[in-house]
Amino acid sequence: MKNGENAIRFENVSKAFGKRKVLDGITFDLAAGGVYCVLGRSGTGKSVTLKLMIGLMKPDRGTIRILDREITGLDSRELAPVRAKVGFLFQYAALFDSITVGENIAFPLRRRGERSDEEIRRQVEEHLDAVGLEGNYDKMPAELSGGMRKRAGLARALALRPSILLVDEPSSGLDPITAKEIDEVLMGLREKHGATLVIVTHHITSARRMADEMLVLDNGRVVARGAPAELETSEVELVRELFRAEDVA
Amino acid sequence: MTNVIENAGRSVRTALAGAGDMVVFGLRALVSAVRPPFELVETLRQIQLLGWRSLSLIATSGLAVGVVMSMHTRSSLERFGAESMIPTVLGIAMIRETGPLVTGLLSSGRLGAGIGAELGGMRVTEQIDALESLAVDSFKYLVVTRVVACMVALPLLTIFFNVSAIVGGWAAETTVSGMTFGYYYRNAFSNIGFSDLIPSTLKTVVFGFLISSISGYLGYNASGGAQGVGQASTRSVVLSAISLIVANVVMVKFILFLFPS
Amino acid sequence: MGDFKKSLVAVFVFGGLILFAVGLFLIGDRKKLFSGSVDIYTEWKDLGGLQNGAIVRVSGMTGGEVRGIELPPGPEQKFRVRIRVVEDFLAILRSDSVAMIQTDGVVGNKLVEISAGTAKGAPLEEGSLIDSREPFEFADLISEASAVLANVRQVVDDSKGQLQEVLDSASTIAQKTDDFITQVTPDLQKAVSSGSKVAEDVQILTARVRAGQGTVGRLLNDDALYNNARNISADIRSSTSGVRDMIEEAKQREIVKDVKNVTAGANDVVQRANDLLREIQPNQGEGSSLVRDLRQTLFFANEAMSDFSESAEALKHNWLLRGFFRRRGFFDLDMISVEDYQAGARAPGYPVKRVWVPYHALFAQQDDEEALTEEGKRRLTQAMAELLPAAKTNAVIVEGYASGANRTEQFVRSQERAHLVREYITRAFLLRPNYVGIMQMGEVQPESGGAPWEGVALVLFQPQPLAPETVNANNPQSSSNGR
Repeated sequence: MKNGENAIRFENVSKAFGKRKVLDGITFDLAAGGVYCVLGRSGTGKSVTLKLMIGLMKPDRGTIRILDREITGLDSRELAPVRAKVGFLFQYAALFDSITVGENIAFPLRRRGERSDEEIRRQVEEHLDAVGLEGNYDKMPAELSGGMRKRAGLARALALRPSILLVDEPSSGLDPITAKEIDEVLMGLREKHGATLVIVTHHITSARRMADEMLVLDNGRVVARGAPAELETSEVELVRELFRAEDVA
Repeated sequence: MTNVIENAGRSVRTALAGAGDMVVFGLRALVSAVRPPFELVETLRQIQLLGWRSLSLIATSGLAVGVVMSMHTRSSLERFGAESMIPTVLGIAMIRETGPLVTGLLSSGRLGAGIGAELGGMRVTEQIDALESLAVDSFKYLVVTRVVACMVALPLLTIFFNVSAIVGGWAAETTVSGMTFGYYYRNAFSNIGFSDLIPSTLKTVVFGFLISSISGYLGYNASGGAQGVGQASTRSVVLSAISLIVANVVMVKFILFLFPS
Repeated sequence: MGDFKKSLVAVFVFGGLILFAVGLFLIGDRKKLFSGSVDIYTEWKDLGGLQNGAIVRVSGMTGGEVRGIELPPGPEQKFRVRIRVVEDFLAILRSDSVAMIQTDGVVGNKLVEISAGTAKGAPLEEGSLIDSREPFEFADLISEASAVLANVRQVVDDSKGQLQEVLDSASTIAQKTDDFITQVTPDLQKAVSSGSKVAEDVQILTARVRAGQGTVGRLLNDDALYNNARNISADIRSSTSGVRDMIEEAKQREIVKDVKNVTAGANDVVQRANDLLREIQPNQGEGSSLVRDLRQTLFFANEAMSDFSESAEALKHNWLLRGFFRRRGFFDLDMISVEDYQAGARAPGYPVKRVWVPYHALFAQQDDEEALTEEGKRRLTQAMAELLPAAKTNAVIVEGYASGANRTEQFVRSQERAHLVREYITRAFLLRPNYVGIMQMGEVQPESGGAPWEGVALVLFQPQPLAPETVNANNPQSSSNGR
């Protein structure tokens, strides 16, 4: 995937829960290889946008294309090849808590059809190293701290070397120092893999640190989009509020 | 007044819709179970978790139920001087009805709550989404495997329950009358036909299906954090126990219709 | 999933399946799903709830099942029942075998019991029709028992009148009838003691019924039935107390001192008594002596009582009253297989006294059949001497042992032996027939090795605790004790 091609494309996508419209005909393109931060108030559909990208939710209207493949209307099995190229880091990591950390990361490898236990072990150790969790293969998820869990979740999301990585609130529930560490791991990965990153956050500082482009959502629409430097001078009320909030923090 | 009626109407509609969803969910699990790909390893793992791990519970309960039933049977048969009928009566009671039903109810507690809570927990901590994101058909991987495992495990557990109940009954009897085990089990089976043993054991396959599909449905569709998980678990036990008892009535009627004794 | 967990699954799944298969096997085995069998027919007016598939027992051993029931074509006709029995049983089934419908315990299903035939009957073949007995009813038994007891009373009353007259006359004629009375008293006492035991049984029975315990009480709420039973017991009591009065009377008159006259006039007394008897019973033929007449009377009384015993035997099979009889030491040997009997299922923990009598001392071959010899009777008397007097009040089981080519032959021969011995000791020692059971043990190898044991063993079961001991009379199994 070369830079400049579209990795993700939303066209006129709407999604409502009961009477509450979360997305209201939203349209945007995200070019491959970039780092995008999606910002907005709580409950403005940031996480929903992310889940639509991997088919965990279906839009009410509109079309979504991932890596030039239309995914609206695909069932679980048809989605599988697309999902194999997209990694997802969940807000609380969502590690399978009945198996060890190592087995969590080995899980996608095994599902892909990897047979050799040694090969799996080797790859898992490599991924654990990459996120700074070496030596935690046999720990259960419950034994890890929040930050370590998030790293393990990241290692699992990257196990199949996806070309798109979706990240839901990387810093939520973490102290600022740990949150910064996670951000650094993400940036390091970007440099190593060159994957497209879509990061949902309400943490403007980390967004500014990482993002090539920022998208601000409000009332189910994209109200502002641009590089962090451009948005600093934005006329949009919400964007100004967001940047002010950072100053206070 | 109109509000009350409207509310009542709405809750009936919700309940019916929920029941309909549940039926569709269960049937989908059955259809999916016979369609490849088969999650064989995970199914075996579930048989181990749901079946083998329930064995001690089932065997202990079986022993206890056997002992208690034997004591009750003795006290009533003694009045007719028909102590020699104790094994026969116990054998019939266990194999025809008590064994399957008690195993079913115990399992709806042990397995229903387990499945409801586990899947509910996975749902609210996004583990199910995580599975999907890893290109795994979570329904097949989580629900179908458990449904199949329960349908396999329940009849087996029933058999173990019956065996331990007969052993327990003998243990209670031999302390009183010194009856030998050989005499006991031969008499326990003396009035039982194939039509007693086979249908009543196989009907627990339906129990297994009910328990796993109901608790699977409630867990898989749980929402609302820890509270939602607790609710899914509780409702799994209640609903699967009730449906099991009702289904049992229907099946007993049906079995008696097919095999009039 | 590790290998260990996989093997747990395997243990769980295959363990369950194996246990299930064992269950199926137990059922299949009981249903006798093997080929060598024949169908015979019998007919009943009233099936009493008998159903297709019911178990069939031949002489107490499970050996087939009911394979079909045809409805009677008309109101005066009977149900025709097709019975499948294992071919091997044809060795003991004959045209005079009788089929009965019985109940297998409380919740038990109805089953068919076929008795072994006698040597006189013709062998059965496929499609043969055998006789049947209509299902037993409790009310029938009561009426039967009441008729029997009326007979007993009449016989006893008659003999009482006769005796009184005889005794009165004898005292006036001979004055000293010591000899006579000492001759008669033991027989009378026997009669009295059996009579009063029958009365006691019936009394306990009626008391239990009157107390209305459990289902029995509800079933017998019928006043007529209840009164009937009470009358029976009163009848017996009055008749036996009549006999007892008579004995008392006889004893008082026995206070006679002069023995010389007795010996001198003994012949005279007998002669006079003969004359007297002729006077009292003019229809009696010439030459009948007083003693013979008395013996005959007592024989009738005895017979009447054993009739009652048979009815009591039937009653014992009735599940309502089974417990009552069991507590009094009666056991339904039909219900116990030889293996269970050997394992002590009949009366676990009961002290047992066993006397062995070998075959060669007992029987001789007579017209293809075994019969008791005089030597055999002497040996049985010797053996009984060890068991008496406890054998009068406790259950005695005659175990028959016989070798043979196959199980059926062993079964039949050991049963015949036990039967002959039972018949003899019951008669000779005036044992109550329902206290004496038989158990056909078949072929049993002595523990010490060697040829299978042939003969019988008399076994005394005592309800009271007793230091267990084995009485050895030519015992080949010196180490066996209450097997």
